[in-house]
Formats: sequence, C-alpha cells, structure tokens
Amino acid sequence: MTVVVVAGAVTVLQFARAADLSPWLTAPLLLLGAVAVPSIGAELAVARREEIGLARLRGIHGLRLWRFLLLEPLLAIVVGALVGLALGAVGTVLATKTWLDEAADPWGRPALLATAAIAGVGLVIVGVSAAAALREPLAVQVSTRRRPRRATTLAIFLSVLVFVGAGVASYRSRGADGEPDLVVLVGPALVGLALGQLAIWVIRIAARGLTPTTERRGMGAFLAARRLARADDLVTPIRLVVAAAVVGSLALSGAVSVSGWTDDQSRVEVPGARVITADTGAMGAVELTERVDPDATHLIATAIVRNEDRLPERRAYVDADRWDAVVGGFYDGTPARAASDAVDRLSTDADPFQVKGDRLTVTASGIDVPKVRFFIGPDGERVPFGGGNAELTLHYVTSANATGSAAVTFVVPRDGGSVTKSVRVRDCAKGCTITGIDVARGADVVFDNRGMTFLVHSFTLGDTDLSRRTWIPDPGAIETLLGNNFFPGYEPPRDIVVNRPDGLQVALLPSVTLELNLDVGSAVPALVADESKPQALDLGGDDRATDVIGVARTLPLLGSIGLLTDIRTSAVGSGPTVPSAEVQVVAAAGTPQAMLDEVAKATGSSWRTFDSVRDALGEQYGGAQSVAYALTALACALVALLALGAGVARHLRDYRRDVASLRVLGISVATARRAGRAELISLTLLVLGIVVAGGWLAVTLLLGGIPLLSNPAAGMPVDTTPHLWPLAVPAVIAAVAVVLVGGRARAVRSATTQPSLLREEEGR
Amino acid sequence: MSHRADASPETSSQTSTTELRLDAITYVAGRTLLDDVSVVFPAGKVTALSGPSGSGKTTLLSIAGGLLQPTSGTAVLGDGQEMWTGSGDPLPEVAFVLQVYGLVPILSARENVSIALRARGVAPADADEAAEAALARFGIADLGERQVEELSGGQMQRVACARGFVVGADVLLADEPTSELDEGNRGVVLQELREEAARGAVVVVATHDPAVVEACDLHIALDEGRVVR
Repeated sequence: MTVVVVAGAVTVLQFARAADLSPWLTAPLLLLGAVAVPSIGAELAVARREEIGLARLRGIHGLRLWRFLLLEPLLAIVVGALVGLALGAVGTVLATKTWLDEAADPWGRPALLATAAIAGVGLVIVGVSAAAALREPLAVQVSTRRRPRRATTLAIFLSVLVFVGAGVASYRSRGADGEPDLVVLVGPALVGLALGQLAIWVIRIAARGLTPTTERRGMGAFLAARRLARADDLVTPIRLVVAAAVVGSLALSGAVSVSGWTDDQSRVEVPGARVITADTGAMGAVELTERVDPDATHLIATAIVRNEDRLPERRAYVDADRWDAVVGGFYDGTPARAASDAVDRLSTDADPFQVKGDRLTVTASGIDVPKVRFFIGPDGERVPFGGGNAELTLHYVTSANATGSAAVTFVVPRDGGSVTKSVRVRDCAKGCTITGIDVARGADVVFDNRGMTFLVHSFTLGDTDLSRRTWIPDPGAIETLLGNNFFPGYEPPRDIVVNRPDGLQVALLPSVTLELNLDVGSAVPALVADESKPQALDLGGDDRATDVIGVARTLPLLGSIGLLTDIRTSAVGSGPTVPSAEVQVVAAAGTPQAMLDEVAKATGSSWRTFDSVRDALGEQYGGAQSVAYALTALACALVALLALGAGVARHLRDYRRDVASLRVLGISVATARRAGRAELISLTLLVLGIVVAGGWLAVTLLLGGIPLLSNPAAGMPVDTTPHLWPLAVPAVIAAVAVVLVGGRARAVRSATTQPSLLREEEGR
Repeated sequence: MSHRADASPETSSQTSTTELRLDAITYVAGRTLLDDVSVVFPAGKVTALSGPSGSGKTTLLSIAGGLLQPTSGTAVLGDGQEMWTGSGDPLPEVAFVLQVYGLVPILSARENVSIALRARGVAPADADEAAEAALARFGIADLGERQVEELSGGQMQRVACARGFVVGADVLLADEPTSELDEGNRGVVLQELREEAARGAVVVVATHDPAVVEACDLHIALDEGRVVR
C-alpha cells in the first residue's frame, strides 16, 4: 500500500509541478491512502496480537516490546516508500514525456517531502494501532478466539466527518472561482467515501431485511444474505472501491469535458479542416480566395480581432457569401451551430470598391466658378485668389493592406468648358480598395470664402469611373465651418454633393477639405454573442451602424463574446484592416492539394491542420490538469484494488473454514458456491449502481468547481454535465474488480474446504 | 497386530439396529496417527473414547464420521455403508460436535443450530422452532440471537452440542463436548447424550474427563494410535 500511495503521489506531484498545476491534485489519493492504511494497520496489529501476548508472557515489556512490534512495519514502510519513490520517478518520466512532450525532473523536493510525510503518517498509524493492541488484556491477546470489534468513537466521528466534508466540498464547488480549492479537489474522494459508507449500510440493512425472503429461496440465498449482512472481507473494502471509482468517474468526466471543450473551441477558432495565416489584410485574403477558388467551394477568408483585453471590440469577419458552400455543416452538433446556420444572412449587396489601374484621370467642367481676383500683398505684390483651382485626392487601401492616396490638381474653366487632368497611381496597378475622395481648392490657392461648384464628368482609375458610385459628404467638414469664427453666419450650400447621371456635382467649402465617403448603404447586419455590446466596426476599426440579426450563445471564430459580420460589407469604405486582426484563409476538408499549395505560396505561410490547432489549444489552456487528475484516479484505483485484494487474502482462510463448517452440517459444496455467486452478484450490482449514482452526483456537484482548464476570455463554457459512458466505465471496472477479486475469495474448491480442515485447526 | 476392541457387550439390554464398525484402521499423515485400530461402536450406547493428547481420538472420530479417508482399513455403518464418501463430506446420518465447535460466525446461535436441520430438508420455520427448543435444553435459549463470536467458550460449546443433538442423527460423534463446561452443564450434556443413545443412535464421546468416561456405557482407550483398552 505504501508503494502504491507513494508512487502515485510522486507521479502526480512531479507532473503537476512540470505542468505548473496545483500540487493538491494529489489530495484524493492521499485521502484514500489515509483511509486504507489505518485499516491495514489495525488488521496488522490484530494479526500480531497473539505474538504480543506471547512476548509479554516471555517477559518482554516496554521499549523492547515496542521495538519488537514496530521493527517489521518500520522496515516495510521504509522499503515501500523507497520503492514507491523509484516507481513514482519512473511514472513521472513516462507521464511527462507522454503528455508534456518533455521528461520532467523525477526527484523534486515536493516528491521527497511527500514521500517522507506518507511514510511518517503510515508509521504513526501503525504505531497507534500497535498501542491499541498493546493495551488489550493479556488474556485477550493469547486467546485463539476472534472477538467482534466494535466501531470506535474516532471511527464513527471520522465517518460523520466524511459526510460533512462531502457536503462542504459540494457547497464550495458552487462558489469556485477557477482557482484550485483543496476541499473541492478532495471532494470526489469525500463523496465517494460517503457513498461507499452508504453502500455498506445499504448492504447490511437490506441483507438483514431480506433474510426472511432469502430463507424461502433456498440455502444459497440465505447464506449469501447472512454473509452480506455480517462478513467483512468483501463488504468493507467496497467503501474504497466506490470512492476510487467515483474519483475515476470524475476524472473521466473531466477528461471528456476538456476533450469536448477543446474540440468545440477548436471548431470555433478554425471553421475548417485547415487554416493558414495571411498578412494581406482581410480584402487581400478575399481576393486570394476568389482567385484560387473561383467556384467558392473550398476556401474562405476570415479575420478575427480577438481583443481579449478590450472585449467590447472583439469581432470577426467572414466571407458570408462563401460560408454555406465551404463551411456547411462543420458546426453541426456544436454550440455554434445556430450561429453558423445564420451566417449567410450577414451577406449584403454592399461591395467593397475594388479597382485596378495605374492612372487616375479626372474630367470636370464648372457650374459656378468665381473669377480670379487679386489683393496687394505685404510687399506690394499682387496676389491672386478665387478662380477654378481644385484638387481631387483619391484614398485607397492597397492589396498589401497599406493606405495610399493620389491627388489630381486642375483648374475648372469659368466658361463652361471642361478640363481633363491625370496622374500616375502605381499602388493600384495590382488592385486596391477605394476608401474615399477628398475635394479641396488647389494647395497653392489663397484663402477664399466664396463658393465654387463644378461637375466631375468622370474620375477614372483603370477602367473604373469612380464618379458613377454614390458619394456622400462627411458631415464633420460642414460642422467645422459652422463653428468657425472666420465665417460668421456661414450657410453651407444646399447641395454639397449631387450624384447625377452625368457625373458627380460638388460644391466646395471655403478653406475646408470636403471628404466624400462611399455610401455604405444601410446598417451592417451582425450576429452577436450573448454578452457582447452590439456595435459593429469596419475592418479599419471605425464605427458602423449595426443591424443585429441574431444573438447566439456561441459564435464561430469568437466563442461566447464578440460580433460577427460579413467581411465584404465591413470592407466597404473601410480603412486598412487593423494590425491586430488575424487574417486567415480556411480550407474545407477535401480541398485539392493544388489549391492548398497555391494559397501557401501566395501567403508564404504553411497550413495548420485542425488537429494541430486542437492539440495546441489543449496545451495552451491547461488540458494537462485533466491528465493529472486521471493519474490520481488511477493511483486511487490501485489503492482500492489493493485494499480489496488484501481484505480477501486476510479472510480467505476464515472463509474456507466457514465452508468446511457448513459441509460438516451436510451443506454441499454446490450450495456454498451458489451462496458465493449470489453474494458476488448482489455486491456487483450494488457497486455498479452506487458508482454510477455516485459518479453522477460527484460530477453534478463538483466538476464545475474543479479547475480543469484555464478557460480563455470569451472561451466557450466547459460542459460539465454528466455523460453516461464516463460514469459507466469506472462502474464497470469497479464491478469487474469485485467479480475477479471476489470470485477468488468465493472460489469454493472441494479440496480446500474439506471438513477435516476443522480437525487440522484443532488447538488453534 | 490387530488391536480389536468390541465395545458391545453381549448382555446389552438394548437391541442394536445398527452399529458403526471400524476395521483395521491405519492413518498416516507424516507419522502414523492410528495403527491398525479395529473398534465397533454399537447403537443405543454411549461409548467413551479416551486417551492422552495426541493419542488419535479426534483422528479416529474423523475417520468414523467420514471426514478423513483412512490410509488403510474400513469404516462401515450398519450393513455395509462406507463412511468415506470420497469428498470428505459426512453422511447425512452422521452429526458432529466438534472440539473446535465449527460454528459459522456469520450466523446467530439459533441459526447455527437451525441450519443443521435446514440442510436436512426441514422447513426454515420448523427448523428455527426446533433450534430454539434445543438451545433451551442446554440453558441458552436467551442467546439465540447473539452472534457466536459474542459468546463465551462454554456458551459456544453448548451451541455446538445443541446443533449436533438437534438433528437426531443415527451417529453422533462428540469431540470433547464438555471441555469448557461447568459441572451442571456437563450433567446436561451427558443427559442429552444418554437420550440420543436411548433413541437408538450410535453415540461416541472423545474425552479427557474421567467423570464423562465414568458416565458412559462403554469405554475405549487409545494411546499412540492404538487401542489399549
């Protein structure tokens, strides 16, 4: 037992240390060990009672007697602790190499301290048991007859304490804040022990109550009921078996929860089989997918602005037009399914104004152009002002997600004639997205407060005439003038910008640049997570009017917090994609390799598979905690198995003697076998039922309070509801252990249970 | 050399319907525990089997009851029923009062007695009733519900006696049935032994106690595995 407890504790402690987890993950194992060791110590003392009596008869007393009593257990505990330490070191190396990719130091200080503490506590427990055995009268010690042992006040108190502890753990788990809490961590073992104790009471009471019924069903059933009601060998260790199985249920449920969370969270973050990072800006990624996958069936562009420090601005953009074809049913069966099904509704008619060309040309004619006038400057010179000087500046975002602008300066004739001017624009040779136009008087023109109106017949970049789009003035410029003391009582023109069929009519503002924005249409449709503030931002981070079309608990790409919009709608009139955006191209399963290669070449990055993203998430957010808890559960199972096996081994001789006694009375071996089978079946069914029920209770009450992982901001909530198979598997394992170990205990061979055994024990 | 002792006096007033005959029994287990022992235990008589410790009394009773297979020789009941059944289980006609009691700790005192009857097909209620009556005959009716581990040595011995006597077996083999009893209870046990014999059973009592030997009808003495009287 010392070997198992020390080896388990050392492995879990060193693993927890390597993974930066709480050392208290070992708490359930230490508790079960603390329950198992005293019973073994007590049995040991009882077993040595006769030796003690004989030693006293030989005149051995005091220190000599203590030395005689403690030397053997001391040696066993010290050797057991050393062997356990060595096994724990091996376990540490294996566990850390398997789950943390790197073997951790197997001889840490916590491991050595824990080993010393376990050995010390074991010695104290054995010493206390020995002291109790020493206090017995000599006549009792030398008696060959076994006397029933009554439960001590301490044992009753500890049983009550276990129930109270289980209740406290359940209560505290509800208020857990994600930090490891010793009582909550030890809770599963407490709940398991409480349920194990309950199971023993149920067995005892039910067996007593059912005795009259079993009497009518034959000798086998009667003997089984009597044994269940009174025998200790199989029933008492059930408490530890149930406790270990409940810890196992919780560990397995935790592992399932973490696995489910990692899977769902990975799906949230990567809506496809593969993902690749693109540093092209969101629209660059859109262009790339359009170029490589013109049929829109395999690739989709996404952009995420995580903003984990400023969650109100957490947002993501997807190419809604492609969503159904590329992502399709990827989110089926996940919490993000509802939102995924609604993504296609984010798509609008608004289209980012993408153009390609290397020359910007403007043709304009005057409508109301002031005359050129002069004033005398400080040095007596004639300075002209007024006239038809104008400048159009085009703003755009390049395919490399950089901002740029190109200005054309020209003089609008007063006589109604037109003027054409052009300028070279290298940035847009490969395409760019137009974000706005500034209209102003020529840069070298002196201040003039008189209005000027002209018509832009065409404003072309490559083959695209920008004047055909709908432009609206930025109200900020007008507001600036209205509050300007240089223009008291200024009244802006009635029509500052008129989008006419034959061109764009513009009225200049005195001394202020007029910014013309593309009409982005109505509000941006958005899907919002529960906890988010519904405010859409475009790719450049500017506010946009928002039309919330749906609220979901979990959004693709974002999780539980954020706002999802269409990447194209959000790109209309937007500045360059903000640097904090993670722009990605996602490929659906079955995407042709040629497409993948082309995207990889264009982005200069390499594809990450969904599985690698999933693994990285597990490591990043502490999935190792569920591994540490599983290791604890495994060690608990070994402790329970050892306790069960030890109980059986200690009582095997007594059981055979009982069967021999029954055979003397004329009860056949077959009847004894039937009784053993009935006893085993009853115990197995009870263990199955109580472990499933106990596991369900422990998972329901405690799993939410156990810090299985460090959930990221806006991460999906961990689903801690009980599932059947993680409850059923430990129950079945516990039942199999009971059947196997109990089967050995109840194996009735004719030769080993002959009534003549009783004759051989004569004189004992 | 055969050591034969016929414990059945020809002048017996009882008519023996059966007898338990052990013929040329030798039993070797590491050493010779019984050496060519031939004895006959008649029905209707209480036969005392005495001898010092290690003389082979318990071994002889075990062979007589079919718990042990003799190395050589035969143990036969009545007209020729072999006592050794091949499994070490006694015949239904045999009841034991064991020196080590052989009580089953998971059962109460009453159940320990009752179960011997149930094993012979008696209904549980009837068996319990008879068990209570048997315990009452030995003065321990009030201990019926006690766990046997809670009883004193003398009380356990009386439960073992009640269990051996209650079944009304053809052969009753009692090994030191009075070793832990006071004089009063010893008298009760001897009286019960007599009644068992009176109904025609073969009754054999292994004992160290001269008073018990004195109270028996017949006496066989063993020493170092041989019949010496």
